[in-house]
Amino acid sequence: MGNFLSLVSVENIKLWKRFSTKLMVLIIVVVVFGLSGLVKAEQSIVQNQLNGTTQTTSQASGDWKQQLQATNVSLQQQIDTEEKSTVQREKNNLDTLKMEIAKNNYRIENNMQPQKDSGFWDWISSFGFAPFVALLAIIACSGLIAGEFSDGTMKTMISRPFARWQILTAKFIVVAVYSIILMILGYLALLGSIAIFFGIGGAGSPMLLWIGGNVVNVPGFVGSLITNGLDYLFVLVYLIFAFALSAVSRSRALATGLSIFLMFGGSFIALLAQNFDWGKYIFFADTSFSAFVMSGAPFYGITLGLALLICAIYCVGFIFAGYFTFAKRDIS
Amino acid sequence: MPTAVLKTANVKKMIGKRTIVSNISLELHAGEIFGFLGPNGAGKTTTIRMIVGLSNITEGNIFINGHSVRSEFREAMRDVGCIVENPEMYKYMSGLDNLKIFATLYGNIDKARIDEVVKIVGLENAIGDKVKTYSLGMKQRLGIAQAILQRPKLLILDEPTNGLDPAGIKAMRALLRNLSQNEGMTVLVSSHILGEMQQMCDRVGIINHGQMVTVKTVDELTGMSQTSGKASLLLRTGDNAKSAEVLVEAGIENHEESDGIHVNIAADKVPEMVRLLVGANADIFGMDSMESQSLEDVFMKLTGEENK
Repeated sequence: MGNFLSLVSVENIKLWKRFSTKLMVLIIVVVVFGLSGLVKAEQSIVQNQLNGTTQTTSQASGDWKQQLQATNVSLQQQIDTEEKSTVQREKNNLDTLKMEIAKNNYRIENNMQPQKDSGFWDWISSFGFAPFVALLAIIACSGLIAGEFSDGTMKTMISRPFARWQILTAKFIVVAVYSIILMILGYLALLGSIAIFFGIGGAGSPMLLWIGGNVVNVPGFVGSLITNGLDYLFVLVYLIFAFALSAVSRSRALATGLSIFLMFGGSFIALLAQNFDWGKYIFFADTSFSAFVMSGAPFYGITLGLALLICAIYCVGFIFAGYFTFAKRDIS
Repeated sequence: MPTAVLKTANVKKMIGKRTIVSNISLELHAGEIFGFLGPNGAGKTTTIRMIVGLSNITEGNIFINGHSVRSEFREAMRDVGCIVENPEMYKYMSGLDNLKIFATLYGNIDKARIDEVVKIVGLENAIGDKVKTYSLGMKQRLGIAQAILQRPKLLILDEPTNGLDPAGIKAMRALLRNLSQNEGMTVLVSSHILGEMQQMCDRVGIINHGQMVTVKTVDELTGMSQTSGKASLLLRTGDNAKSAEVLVEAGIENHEESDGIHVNIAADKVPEMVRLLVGANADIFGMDSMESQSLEDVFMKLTGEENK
C-alpha cells in the first residue's frame, strides 16, 4: 500500500511543474497592484474635479454628533416603513439600516468622529480581490482533476497501490493549499499597494464590524483579517464546487468554464434571493460572506450564520457527489 | 500448488443490458508469457481494464497473487505494472520527471533503478526532454519503463506493439523474453497480430465475441495447423508453370500464385515430390513452409471469421 503522503507530494509536483501555476502566483500580485493603481487614478481624477468647485465650509467638530443623530432619525423612519411591508423586495436593506443606526450611536457614545477619507485598514478590508483568487484556484483545480481525464493521464494513476478516494483527496489538499498561498500573497500585495498608492494614514484607527446584530470594535488589522478570512471562505466554497464538477464532468473545459461563470454570475443569482424568500436557499446567493460584517446582510431574512450553514450543506453534497462518481464509474 | 500470478474467475462485464465479456476464466503461472489474442472488439481490452482496476467487474472476481482486485485493490496493484491502450504521460514534464513521479508512488525505487530502466528501454538520450517532444515509439518505450519500474510480478501490456516499427517490435520481443527468463516476470500481452504472438508467447488464449474460445500452448496451436501429417509448402522454381504441370500429372494438389506454387501434400510424401521435380530438371530456388499462413487459417477458423 502506498504512502498517502507520497501521493500528496506527487500531486503537488504535478501542480507546480505546470508553467501556468507559477504564472498565476505572479498574476495575483500584478492584478492587486494594477487594480489599486486604477482606483487611485480614478480617485485623482475625481479629486481634481472637486477641487475646481467651491467647498462648503467644514463644520466645527461638535456638530458631527448632531448630524449623526439627525441621520439616525431618518434611518429609523425608513426602518419603520420597511418593517411594515410584507414584500420581500422592500425589506432587503433592513439589516444595513439597522447597522448604520447602531454604528452612529456607537460613534456618538464613544466619541469616534467619522473620518472623511477611508483609513488604511478600510481599504484592505473592502478591496475584495477574492474573486481573482477563486478564478485562479478554480483553473488549477480543474486542471489537476478534470485535466487528467481530458489528457488521458488518469489511466496511469489508477492502476497503482492507492484507493481512488486517496487520489482525489490528495489532489484537493494540494489545490486548497495553493488557494491559501494565493490568498496570502494577494493580501500581502494589497498591503503593499495600498500603502504605496494611498499611504498608511489611519493605520492606527479601529474598525467597526457588524457581527450578530451588534457593533464590534476591533483593531484595524484584526478587522482586515476577519473580512479577508471570510473572503477566503468564498474562495473555498467555489473551489469545492469546481472540485465536484471536475470529478463528475471529467472535462477540463466544462469544469473551468461553468465554475467561473457561476462564481461571477452568482451576484446576479443573488437578485433572485432579493425578490423571493426562498432565494436564500440557492447556493450562489449566499456566498458573499464578508458583506455581512461590513455592510449588513445583502438581503432580507439571512444572517451570516445561516449563509455559512447553507453553503456548508451544499459543500457536503458537492464533495459527496465528487467522490462517489470518481470512485464508482469506469475510467475510459 | 503455488498461487497463480493472475487468476480470473468467471469474469463478466456488462454495460447496461449488454454483455461485453463473459465466462472469462484464466490462470497465469509465474514466469510465463501469455498471449491474449482476438480480433478487434473481442473483449481483450475490456478484460484487461477490469484486471487493472479501470473498469468495474460486473460478475466474478480477479486475483493477483491471491489478492482480490475487488476487495484488496491496493495489495493487488502493488505487484502489477501495465500499459493500457496508448500510455499517456505528463507532456509538460520530462520523461525523467514522469518516471520520478511513478517511483515516488511506490516508495522504494532509487535513482539507480530509474537509470537502469531508462537504459533497458533505450531512452538515455531523450529522457531529459519534455514528453511532448517524443515520437510515438518513444512514448511507448517510456510506457514500458514506467510499467517495469517497480519490478512487478505481473506485467500487463495491451497491444504494446501498436505504432512501433519492425525494429521496435523486435526490441520489445527481446525485452519481454528477457524479463520473463531473467527476472521471472509473468507477462500478459494482448494483440490481434498472430505472428507476433507466435514468436513471443508460451501460451495463447483466444477470445472472440466476449468469450474465451480456447487456451493452448503455441506449439499446440501450430500443431493444429498441420492437420494429420499434411505439409503446406511454398515452392519457388525457375519455371513455375512447368513445375505445376509436373505436379498435377503426379496428382499432387497445388495452385500457382504470384509468390510461387502453393502445395498441399502429405508430410511423408515431400521427399518424393522433390525427387520428381529434380528429375524433371526443374530449378528449385526455394521451398518454404507456409505454416504461419495455416496458423492464420486456424485462428480464423477458431474465431469463426471465415464464415462472415
